[in-house]
Amino acid sequence: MSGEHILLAGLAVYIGVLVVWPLGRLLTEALRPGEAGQVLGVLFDALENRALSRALNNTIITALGATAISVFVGTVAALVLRLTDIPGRAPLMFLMLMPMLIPPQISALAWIELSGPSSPLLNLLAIAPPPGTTNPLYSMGGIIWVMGLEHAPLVLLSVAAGIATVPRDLTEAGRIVGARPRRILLKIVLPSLYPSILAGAALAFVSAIGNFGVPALLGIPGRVTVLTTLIYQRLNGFGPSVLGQVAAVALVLVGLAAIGLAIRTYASRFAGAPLDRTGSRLEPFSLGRWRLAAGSAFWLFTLVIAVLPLLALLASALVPALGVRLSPETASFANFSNVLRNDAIGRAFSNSFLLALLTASICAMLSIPIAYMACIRRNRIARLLDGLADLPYAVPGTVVALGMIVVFLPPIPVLGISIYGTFAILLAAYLSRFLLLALRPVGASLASIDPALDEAGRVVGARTWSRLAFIVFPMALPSALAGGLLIFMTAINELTLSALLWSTGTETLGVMVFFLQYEGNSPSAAALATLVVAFSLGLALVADLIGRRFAPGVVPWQVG
Amino acid sequence: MVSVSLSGVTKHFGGAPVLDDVSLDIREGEFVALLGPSGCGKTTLLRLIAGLERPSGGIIAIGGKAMAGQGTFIEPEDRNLGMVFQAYALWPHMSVKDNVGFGLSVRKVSRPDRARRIQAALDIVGLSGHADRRPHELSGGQRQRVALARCLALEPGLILLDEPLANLDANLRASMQEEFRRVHKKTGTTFVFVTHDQAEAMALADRIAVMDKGRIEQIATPRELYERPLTSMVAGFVGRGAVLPVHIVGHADSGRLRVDIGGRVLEMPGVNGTARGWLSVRPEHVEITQTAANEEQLPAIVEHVTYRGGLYEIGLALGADRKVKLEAHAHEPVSPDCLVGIKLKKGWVLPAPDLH
Repeated sequence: MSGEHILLAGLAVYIGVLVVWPLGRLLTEALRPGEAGQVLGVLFDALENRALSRALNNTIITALGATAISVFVGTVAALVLRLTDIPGRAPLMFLMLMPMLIPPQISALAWIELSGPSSPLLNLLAIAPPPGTTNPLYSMGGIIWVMGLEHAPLVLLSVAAGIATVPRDLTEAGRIVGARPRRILLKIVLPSLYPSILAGAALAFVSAIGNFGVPALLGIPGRVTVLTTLIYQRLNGFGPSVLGQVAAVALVLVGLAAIGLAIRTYASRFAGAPLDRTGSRLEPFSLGRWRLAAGSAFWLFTLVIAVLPLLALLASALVPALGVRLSPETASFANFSNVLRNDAIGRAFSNSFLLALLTASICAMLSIPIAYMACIRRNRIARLLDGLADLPYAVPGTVVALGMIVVFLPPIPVLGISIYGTFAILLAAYLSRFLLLALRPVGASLASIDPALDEAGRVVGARTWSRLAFIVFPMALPSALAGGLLIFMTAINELTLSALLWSTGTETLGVMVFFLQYEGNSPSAAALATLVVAFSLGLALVADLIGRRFAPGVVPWQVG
Repeated sequence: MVSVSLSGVTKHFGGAPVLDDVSLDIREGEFVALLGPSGCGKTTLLRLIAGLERPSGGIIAIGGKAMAGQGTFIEPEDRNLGMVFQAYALWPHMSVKDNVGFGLSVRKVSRPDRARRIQAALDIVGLSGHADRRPHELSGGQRQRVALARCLALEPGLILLDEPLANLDANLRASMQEEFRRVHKKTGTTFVFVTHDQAEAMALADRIAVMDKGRIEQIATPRELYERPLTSMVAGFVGRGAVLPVHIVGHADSGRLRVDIGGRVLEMPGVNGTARGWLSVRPEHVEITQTAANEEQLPAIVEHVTYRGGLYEIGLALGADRKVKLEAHAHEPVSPDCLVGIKLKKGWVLPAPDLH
């Protein structure tokens, strides 16, 4: 067997075990006959369940509502930041994209701290809801609002990328025939952006369907159950015995996501079509005398949605005890020191750090041979594996976690041990879900190099392993590094997978923030969340430097 | 230096064949050009010899050893040949020295030996002073020299060149042609060279294989191709030649053929095969006179006149329906649309199995 065959076989086993087996088994679990043997009995039983139909209903309403907000905020932001000359566009872009750095459960927590009766900021202004009332965000509307803002960057990026492909000639042609800027915007630029907007909207919809952090923090206290929280509550309440039933719920979730992804695929075919790249970019329209007014309004809006909740989070973390008014005299770091002394949180820090580090390095390393075989050697099996790696990222995280439980709850064949409830099952789930984040940038960078570089290696006698090590690896390293960093930033805050897979001893940071808040210990939750946000922003800074230096186009806020 | 032998090689990528029953024998130390219009299959043929593609049928042997066909396939890693790619394919993260030495290090050549052979290869291409540069610090011509040195360091018996001059400007192209010729002479290595530029092929090659639509039309020395083309495709492709349909009416005493063209009978050398034939005519062999006065001259209509610096290129049409076109070179202009007489000073008759 040649080195290439061994490599392919190894990669196929890896993808098979971590992707095909869990998702395939979950599917067969959901499609099993019912207790009386009727075809698809489990699925039909689940669909008749009233709790499921209510959750399905809630999921669709919240996802559509959140998508509407994402589309509005994302599109307006893209148009303002890319097509006008308002002051401070670079920092505004970073602020608008900040939700991508902050995990959903922390955004939700920040908004809770901002809007509740005990909100330190609202109390400072004396406009907080009266004590004793429930937080207005513990509702369907709250979920829609927070998820909408959380996913707005997806639309923003999609539309900004669309704007980048509109050639300047198009607007200049409009001006030559005498159209004014407003008309050019509405009649020329906007229509050419519809596919990008639709693609971004579909992505926001899929993300909203699969979101767990926001509905978990806002919906569980507000008694608004969506599909992801339904699965979580069922599994938490009844244990693995309901696995078949929740597998059916997961299938419904996958169905919804598939609709969104189909729309996205359809829209992407028209969006960002490879237009003539040689033409120069659109020039921002001058706002003239409205520049300052419009600029201030947009700055204010951005600060309110991106910065204010984080300030609320920080303020809550500084409150010495629940209900005490925050002032320079009462502010204390007691919550931070409590958090840092807590054993479980200490474990969560090291678990999350280790998980993120292992996931990032393994995925970054493996993405190089997969992308090499798929994009340079154009091997059919490797291209199939490359496509399969999409699945665990395309389906909601809850589905991946369920698949892991289905296959890893029983003892592993041959070894005879079960990894359920251990660190290993978390790692397996992370590896499965996040591989794509490294595979795509690495694939893009390898697809852009001349295949002759590899062929030249073959002709001088270098075999597969030598070419991988000495030719491909050095060229793929920058994008693998950037992809790995992206994985690290995402994995360190992971909640959706962890919430279903953790157990005592394998807590993660995401789980700890969720549980501290769930237990009513919101000052500690806020303190931990503040630390996590600070850490994430620090990482973003590193990513920014690496991205600028080595791999332009990988770090999202550097687009354009 | 090794020989290359292809027999009955075909290659298709799913649909229509890209190469159709190609047979070719290249002698040891020969410099052969594969010439043809784009899409004729010449690059695929080169890649098949390199082992970068697998033939769909037929046998390929290098140095008498079977490389592909009849159930065997030797991977390019094991063929021990050199290849120069169109866009150089230098590894961007390696210095010139490392690019040249990579093949030696994967073959576990000892360090001092490696250094010596890298030095020798760089000396041959005249780049010994640039050993520590990176590819992006070099000019196009220098990069192509590094690519050549990378082959030479391995001392292969066969070097394949895939349009190696296509990315260079005209001046560099001439000096690189000189370079290839010199290296070929010095090393005695067999060279197989792909190009779509006939001037390049003529200047460099011992023999040229003209390809069209996946087949080899003719393989011959440059002079033979030019003077005695075998097919109308070769006659038309090489040297801006025109092919005029003629009837072969008999033999002249001199061993020439008597051909009838538009009612005038001319004596021309050529190959007798069919009743109809093609008369291959080069622009420099067409002489224009003011009127079609005597027997030897054909009437023609001037269609266009273009000044090419030093001479005029004159487009002519024969016959009442103006269907047959040819070109002539003249030192004095003629006016468009006027009727002139032309005299064919030289020509070559070839069979026309495709004419009825």
